[in-house]
Amino acid sequence: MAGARFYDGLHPTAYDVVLRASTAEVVATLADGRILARWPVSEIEVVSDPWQEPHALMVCPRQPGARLAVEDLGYREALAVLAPNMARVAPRRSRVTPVLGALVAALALTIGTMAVLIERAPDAVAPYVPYSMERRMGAAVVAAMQGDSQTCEKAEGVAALQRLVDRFQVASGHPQKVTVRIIDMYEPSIGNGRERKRRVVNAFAAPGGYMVVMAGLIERADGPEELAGVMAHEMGHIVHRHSVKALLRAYGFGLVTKLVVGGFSSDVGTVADAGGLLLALRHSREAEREADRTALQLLDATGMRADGLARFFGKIMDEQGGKDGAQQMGVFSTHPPTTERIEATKRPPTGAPAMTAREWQALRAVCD
Amino acid sequence: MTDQSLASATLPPAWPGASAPVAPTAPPQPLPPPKPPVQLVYDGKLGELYVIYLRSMLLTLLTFGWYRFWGRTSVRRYLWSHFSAFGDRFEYRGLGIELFLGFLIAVGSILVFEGAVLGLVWLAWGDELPAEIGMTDIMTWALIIVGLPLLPVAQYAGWRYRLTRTAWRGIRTGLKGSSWSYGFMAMGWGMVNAMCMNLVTPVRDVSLNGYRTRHMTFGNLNFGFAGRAADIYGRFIGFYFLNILAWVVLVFVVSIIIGGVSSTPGGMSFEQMMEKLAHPTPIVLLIFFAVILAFYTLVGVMILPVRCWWMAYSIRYMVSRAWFDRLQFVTGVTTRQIWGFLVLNYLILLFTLGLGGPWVMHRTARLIAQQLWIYGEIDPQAVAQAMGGATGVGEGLLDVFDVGSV
Repeated sequence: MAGARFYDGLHPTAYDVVLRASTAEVVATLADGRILARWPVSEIEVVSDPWQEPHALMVCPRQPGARLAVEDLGYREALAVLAPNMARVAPRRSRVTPVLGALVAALALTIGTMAVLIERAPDAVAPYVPYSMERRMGAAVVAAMQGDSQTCEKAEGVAALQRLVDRFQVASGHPQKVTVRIIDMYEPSIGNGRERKRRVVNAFAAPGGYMVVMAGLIERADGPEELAGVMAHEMGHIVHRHSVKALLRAYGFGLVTKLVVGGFSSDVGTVADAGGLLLALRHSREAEREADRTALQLLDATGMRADGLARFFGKIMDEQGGKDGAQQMGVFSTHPPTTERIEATKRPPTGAPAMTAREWQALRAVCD
Repeated sequence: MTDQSLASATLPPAWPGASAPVAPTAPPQPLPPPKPPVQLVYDGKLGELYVIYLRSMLLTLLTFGWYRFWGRTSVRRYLWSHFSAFGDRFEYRGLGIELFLGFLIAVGSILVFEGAVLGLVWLAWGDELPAEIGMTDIMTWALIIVGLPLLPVAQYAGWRYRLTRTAWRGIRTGLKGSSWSYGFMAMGWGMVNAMCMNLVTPVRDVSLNGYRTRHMTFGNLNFGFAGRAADIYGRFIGFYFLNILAWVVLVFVVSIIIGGVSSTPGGMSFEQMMEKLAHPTPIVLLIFFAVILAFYTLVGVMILPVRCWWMAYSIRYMVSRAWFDRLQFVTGVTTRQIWGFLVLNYLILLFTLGLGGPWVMHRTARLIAQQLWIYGEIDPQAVAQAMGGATGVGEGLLDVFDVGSV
């Protein structure tokens, strides 16, 4: 497009015009000499964007709605130097190749930094999450678990478990007291319901120092050492704030993938989410190993018999027919292979009992 | 690039159906030969688009997402201004701050809505809300139930925002009509269609597309649309049953393949496959991705062509039944083109994890420029700038729902 085009702002008419410009005014003239616009330079506003648009668009309040479009580079350079308010007439397009290279490098650096931050930052940030906030989250999790299951509250039994956990808490140097909840939860029954419903055998460390123990775990444990081993393991999760770290990591990963992937295709999002899940599972397995190590330290520090944890793992594996479920699940497992954990936590059957026989009896009867 | 503005007003155009008034005494004038149709021109460069896109992506990352409104605006500015028709470029005059304010308003209304839900629940149950009903569940479901029907409303408001910010030869485009009416229509048709096993799709498409097109404006004139569902029903019924047939064949083929693999002597059971996948070695990963790719290829070869056959037909029909003043629109887009377009776009986005976005935009712009033909000429005196009409902020809800990336 040589020259310039004038649009009157009233009708979709394009006038090919010749521009004559001085430091005082810009005049647009048709080929037959008719003048379509005579605008003082000081009143001209450039509405186009010199970075993104291939033409310069000028407007002037004297002719509302009218536009002068200039595409010719020579014209634009000449017009730009007339006055400061005309500077945006000149194109400011940078050379593509070097800028693209710099941008790609900067992006790679930014995404790399963010990836490292997501890996490392939760460990550093978790201690600074306000305890009250953590406590509220934990209370919500526990309330959801309690749902329609029975909460076991026989005072003597709860007190026995609380004393055991308190010993671990003191030994670990963890500043906040741990709240123990015993829940009698059953696995969802499949089939006609004639077979006996199975109790859930598990324990959780929720945020905010809540320790949820399923009654099935107390039932299945042979003696207080096995229970103490599992409690020390959960105490390990609480000491290292694993639940908060996992939440922070999931949040950070979600934020960054959302920013990079954008709103394009749900399949792209699915691929990114799958990657995030595998990463989270890897962190989960690492956290379990850390909790196992801490459990042994706590058992040693309190002088308790420490062979319960490995024994309990072995028993669970035997009940599954000798199969190592976690090992079979591999990269999809939340826990490391059970055989590996047994090897790592093996201890001799020496040390003080975790609780008195009387306490153990009271705890066994906590749900009755 | 000639000055056609004044000449065209005096000549009657070669237009089917438009009777040129001929004075009885004058000898019959031969009609001027019809002018060849014109196309939109897109002269954007992929590299330049990438510079703009990556720059805004970098700033979006560094500002934790807040720059995206300004980034999206600059990408639009680039795309719009590199499209031209009859030698004149389009203009996009939207501002990042408008998108940002729209977003804030949308987030604010969601907060107010959720506050109201919270208040109502508290009034109804007080502190006796049963423990198994979580407050978060109630609020999430309330938002989904109210939000999903709002999606077409937000979409229409988003189109309106973009169109009111678009101009050509200094004349603004626009979208009249009510986004609420459109939203209710879309929701109603969606429900009716679901109840009729998708058999009223052509009626729905013509109805919604007609509403959109007839309410589109350029200056003070509306676009027109003369589509009828009856015209495209035959092809749709053909597509409907071909589609079912294609799925049946696909399921058949996949079950034969799976059956064949697991029954061969060296084959593996499902458990064995899962066991291999759980402890991935490079070769397992390679096979895993090859299998996924094979499945997608099957879908792409057996299901997608049938769908594209209908899509291309539907697009050709909808475009050819739209007009503006003395302009008519025609597209010759073929099944093969749509298929290639979709498949390559999908591959680009999947393998670049979204970084191929500009490439897809570029391809879309080029396809539009190649496949849209405009017949006739615009009569500048018949169209005048419309007064007012631009809404203040836009697209807020759309951004909250995370749809549409340009």
